[in-house]
Amino acid sequence: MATTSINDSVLDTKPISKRELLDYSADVKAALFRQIWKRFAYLENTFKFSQVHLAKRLAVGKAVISRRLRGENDMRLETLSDLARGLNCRIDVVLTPFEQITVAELKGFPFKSPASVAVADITQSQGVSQEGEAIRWQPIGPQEEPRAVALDAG
Amino acid sequence: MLWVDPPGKHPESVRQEALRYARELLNQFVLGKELIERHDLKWLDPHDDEVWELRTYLNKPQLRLFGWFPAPNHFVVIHCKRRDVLKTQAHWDNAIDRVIKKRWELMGDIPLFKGWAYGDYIN
Repeated sequence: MATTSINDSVLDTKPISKRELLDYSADVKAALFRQIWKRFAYLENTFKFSQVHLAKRLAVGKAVISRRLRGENDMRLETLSDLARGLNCRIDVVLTPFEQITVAELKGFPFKSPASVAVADITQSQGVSQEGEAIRWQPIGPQEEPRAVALDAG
Repeated sequence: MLWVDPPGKHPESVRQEALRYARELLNQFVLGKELIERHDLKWLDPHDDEVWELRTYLNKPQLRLFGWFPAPNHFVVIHCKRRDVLKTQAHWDNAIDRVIKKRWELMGDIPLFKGWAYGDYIN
């Protein structure tokens, strides 16, 4: 039976920067929070489900729910999980190895992973051009109708 | 120097823990992912001014990125603010005026792109 080592894989042992790990966790939490907020807004508009209802379901005060839905503080995974459960939602988690993410999934962006996009844009300066103080923040690669952000540092 | 991605110390003492959510938001935008109306991206009143804000959550200070759409799916950020310094209507008015003034410097009297609804600006 053939044996394999880490050298045969796409992994390496270079340390991942703290900055990348920080951005990665922001991607995860923000994605979850966005879904929770969207679900609450839907229930509120459709069924008049309120923060009071959610507070009762989670046995906490309305002020706590209000603060959480305003996203004022960083939330632990347990808190996000409670909110999702309170909204009668299951959180589906998919851990996809970078090498299995197709270009098509990224809508034409030749990145290794969605989470690494931020790092690629920022730290490798790919897709970022500077003109004086203005910095364009735009995707790399072909896209029929790209969205683009330009940032003025003035 | 980029406000959301300073190479050194942030000019307004915003920690990386908060700035990362601004970067996440910008990446959501450029990757064509969903941005929820009024949650992530808000068309500020009065709509005729065509000024928008991108909003971060989950860390203090929350951040607001002010700008406008010169065309659908193209957003120009003119300046950024910590949410906690936008305390009065005058602060908000100043933030909006700054976008309008800078836009005028950049665009002159080129007609503004104007849409009717959120989906006209971002899709």
